[in-house]
Amino acid sequence: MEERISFSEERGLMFQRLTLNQRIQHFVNFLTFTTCVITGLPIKYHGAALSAKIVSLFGGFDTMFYTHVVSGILMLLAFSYHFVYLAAYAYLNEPSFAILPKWKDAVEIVQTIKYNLGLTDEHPEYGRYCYKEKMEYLALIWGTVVMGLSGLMMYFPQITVKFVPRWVIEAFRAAHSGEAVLAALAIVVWHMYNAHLSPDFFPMNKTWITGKVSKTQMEHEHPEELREIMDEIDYKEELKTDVEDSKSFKFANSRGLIGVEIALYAVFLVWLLKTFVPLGF
Amino acid sequence: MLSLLFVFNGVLLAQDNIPAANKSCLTCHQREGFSTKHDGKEISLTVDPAVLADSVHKNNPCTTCHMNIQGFPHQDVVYGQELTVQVTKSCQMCHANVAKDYKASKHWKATKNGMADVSCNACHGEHNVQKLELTKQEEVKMCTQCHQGAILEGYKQSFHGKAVLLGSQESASCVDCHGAHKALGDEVAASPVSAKNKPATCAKCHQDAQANFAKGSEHLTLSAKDKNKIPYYISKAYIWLIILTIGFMLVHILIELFGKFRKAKKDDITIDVDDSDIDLN
Repeated sequence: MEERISFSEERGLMFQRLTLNQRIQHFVNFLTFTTCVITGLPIKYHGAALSAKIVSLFGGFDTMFYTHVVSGILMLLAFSYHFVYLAAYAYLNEPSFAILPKWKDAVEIVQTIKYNLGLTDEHPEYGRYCYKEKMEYLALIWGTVVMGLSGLMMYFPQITVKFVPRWVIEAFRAAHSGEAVLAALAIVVWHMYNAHLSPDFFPMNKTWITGKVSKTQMEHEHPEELREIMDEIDYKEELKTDVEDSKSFKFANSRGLIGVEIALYAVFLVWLLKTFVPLGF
Repeated sequence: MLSLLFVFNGVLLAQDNIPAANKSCLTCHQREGFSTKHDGKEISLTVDPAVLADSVHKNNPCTTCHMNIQGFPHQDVVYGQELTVQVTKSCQMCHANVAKDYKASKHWKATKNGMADVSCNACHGEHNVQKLELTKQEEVKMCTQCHQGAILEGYKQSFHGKAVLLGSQESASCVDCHGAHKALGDEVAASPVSAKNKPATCAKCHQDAQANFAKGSEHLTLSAKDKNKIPYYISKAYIWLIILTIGFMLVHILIELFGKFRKAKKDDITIDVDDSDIDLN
């Protein structure tokens, strides 16, 4: 069992956020998701020059396609495992519903935007999961259901048509194709920002490897959860420490980095509108 | 004149692959620039002995295919489409089984009526006639010389088409479903793509393909005009879901970055969450 609270010479008090089990789940999802994107987009954009290059990287279409299928099945196995894990967690501990959206999240989105626009000086105090994390988790559940279901329907068409007419496969194929781009873009935009490019964590939030978050980060990211943890424990005396977190927030005030990123995301937004709006009619 | 023929024969004897009967034909027909005028058009009569020697028919006398040419000077010479029909008829003298299928096909009808040249030679070559051992990609390329438009577009959008165009050797090309010599059209009962035969045709690759499996269009383009609009509307809905979701993410990130940029300028603090009520002591 990993200790919930530990101590680091450089970063002070460290709080366990992700268990080893959870980190492995994230890693398997990361690998299979990336593989599915790389081997799947060439099928959607079969005319693109890059698609032919990716195909040749796999030594041919058929190998690439089987890689896609195998990786998708592994992702579904990891997904199924996650629900076994949730059930086991609920059985062994108290079931937790902290990830589910609450009214508080809607209030916090508005307040966060107001805060960033300079309309209020009060930053919302996030709990165990803030709305950004909840959005991502729920999008992953939704995305895996859509991709998994449509993927299986397409890979086993002769079984699918025993239950539904064939046009249903065609409809789910359109969903597979659309959801793929939505999911890939969501990871590139939302997840890459929140885990890598956010000036608070640049170049990378290492929690996915270490599983730990410093007290300084907790105060910033999950103050409400931190308060709950501290209320619970009865050995506060031992936790007194003067060590400041010297590792976190190194680039948080780098106006150079923030400026470059503003330009990057502005270009991304223009690209998004220019690429997708004409396709919408 | 006779002695001249002997000289030519002497040259030709060196090319030992050529049947003796053909040597006299080639005496004239291998001359470069050998041509005639028909209907005001210049028609080349030259045959390259090297091309002939490369074909599967290299041991056949010229007159197996050019059946009406039995003496010199030639009687009843035909040109153009008439020649095509005449030569195609001679193919069945040996290739009776295939010719039976071919003669029932739309290809023969079109050739016979002069609508298009889809004769045996159109696919198999003329003097370089070959047994076709084509890759899936070459097959598609051959058929799509004529078959373009909605049929080709629909194939390109299908999984079969995408896979083959990206180099698959397992997915279905045109002839895998439609047959080569039996290109009958789906309204003919004997066609491999007729309503009756479709399940069996699908079952060549998709084991246990049910009747339901074959009910649906394979050459499907997503369109509001199509019989089935649902896949089309799903794909459009996803475009807007992508624009709204990813657009929201990008705008949210930009607002956050602007907020951070402003803060970084105003005061040089990183953590502005009020943590006075987090009691560590």
